[in-house]
Amino acid sequence: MTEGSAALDAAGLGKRYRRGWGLRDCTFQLPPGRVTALIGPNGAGKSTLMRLASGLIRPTSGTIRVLGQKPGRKGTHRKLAFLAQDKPLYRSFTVQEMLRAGAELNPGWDHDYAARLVAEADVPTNARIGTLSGGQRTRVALAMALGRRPALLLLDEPLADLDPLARKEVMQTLMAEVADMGMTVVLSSHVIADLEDVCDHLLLLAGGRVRLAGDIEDLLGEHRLMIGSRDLELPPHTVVEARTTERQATVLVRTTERVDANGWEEHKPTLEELALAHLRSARKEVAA
Amino acid sequence: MTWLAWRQQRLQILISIGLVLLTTAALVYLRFDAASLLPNQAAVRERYQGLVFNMPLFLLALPVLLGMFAGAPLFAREIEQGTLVFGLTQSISRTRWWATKLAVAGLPVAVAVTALGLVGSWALEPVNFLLSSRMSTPLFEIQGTTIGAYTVLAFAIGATAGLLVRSTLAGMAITLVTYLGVLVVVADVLRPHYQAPLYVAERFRPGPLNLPSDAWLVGHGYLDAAGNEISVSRINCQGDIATCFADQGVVQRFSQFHPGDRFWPFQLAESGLVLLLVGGLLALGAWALRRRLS
Repeated sequence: MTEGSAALDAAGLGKRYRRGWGLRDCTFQLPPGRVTALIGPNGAGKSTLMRLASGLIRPTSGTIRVLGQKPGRKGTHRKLAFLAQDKPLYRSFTVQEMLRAGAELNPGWDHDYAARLVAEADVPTNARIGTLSGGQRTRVALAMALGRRPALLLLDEPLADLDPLARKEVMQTLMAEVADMGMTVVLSSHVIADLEDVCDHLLLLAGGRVRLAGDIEDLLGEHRLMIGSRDLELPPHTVVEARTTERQATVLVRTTERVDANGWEEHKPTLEELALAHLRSARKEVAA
Repeated sequence: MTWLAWRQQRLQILISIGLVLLTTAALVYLRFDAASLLPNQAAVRERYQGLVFNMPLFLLALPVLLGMFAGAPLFAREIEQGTLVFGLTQSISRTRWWATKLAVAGLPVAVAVTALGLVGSWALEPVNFLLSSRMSTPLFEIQGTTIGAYTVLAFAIGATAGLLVRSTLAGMAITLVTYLGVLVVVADVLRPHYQAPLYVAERFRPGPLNLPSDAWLVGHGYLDAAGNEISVSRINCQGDIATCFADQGVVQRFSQFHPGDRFWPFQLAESGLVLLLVGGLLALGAWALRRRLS
């Protein structure tokens, strides 16, 4: 990747809070036009990373560049939209007033587009934000973010506290718009199943550090999941994580070739298996 | 952004201005009604004695009430409800967001209360004879330009405290305590020194000091034959006070006071001082906005 072409570019990025480091020594690039799954347990630094990118907080160390620019105090980058986890909207406003607020605060506001998204969600424009259901509220918040016509969209746990039907609807809307606009999207979640079908890039955080980053297909191709009897010798490869039950051992190894070890059954891992193995191994490292 | 700030604060702004306008209207009525009774001072005294006694306390509380309810929630509620994150992740600079909110919520109320203060000074003229000097607390703070300045102060304390402690309730409590502290310090410690007081010494005689009725007495005492200040005790006096004091060496008594025509220069001095404090508070808020917020 050439200099400055990344949608999000972090170098040695760290943020220290009073209670300790929220994010430490993170270096990665997110390529433009991709949908990135930002995965990590609670407290891994997912929200911290998004707040740093949107300029809400400043790094303690290192740098972060959004579409080539460092976030400043002049508001969030014009081409970045951030939807926080609690979907902050003015509760006493009507939906229409909320859209007007978007227009007031953003010179590049696309009112017709935002209004269309709200209409498609069947949210009455004269309803107060405080009276909306969780799903409606998320749809309005998404319209507020997309109305800025972003090139980079950061969504922090957008599906948390939504029912399954609403999750599906929100995701469908989002993906339809992504396909139309060619946006770069970063979606955070600790529920990997939510992200598996829509994301093509992965950024795995644990304990404030990057554990794994890259194209999901490439990463899956670089790993083998081995299942066999617990008495078998471990394959002679880089073992990410080995787990044993009473009878059977499950081992994730990092290799681009077939392992072909005697007695082992070999699979291509799913995103969930890959992510969980790396997260568990990270947790053991911290505990050790 | 102006529309947004207005939409967020309009209820508080309208209630505040309504309250101020009602108070102003009551003062104007007082002026005309009291003036129609004059020169019959007894009639004015009979009708307005009680009101004139209680009203200064209400007017003294008005700035801090407005500051608590308009200032403290201004940023603290946005922090509490998470909407701060929405406001600060749009294409508008932090400083402009902060300054617009302050101006939209603060200026209308500041203008209204300043008008109330100026109308108040005029409206109280016919009942001034019922009151102590209008240069002492609480009469000084509730009229002229100072009531407007104190309102801006309470508002700035509330807004900045809310920004720093991130809680509406704590912001309100800080506003109340800080405002009362400033009020006491300014009135007791600073105001007597805006200008050197006039000094009058006269041969000692019992009875009240011979000062103009609108003068503000800031010090008095007794002098011996050599002109040195001496402390005298009234406790052991039996019979004639004059003789008793003379036995303790009192020859003269003196008083230090500010004449009533210093009211307006003192008003401007105190308003300027309070606005300086407001400037300091806003600078603190601007610092917190850049360094500490989220």
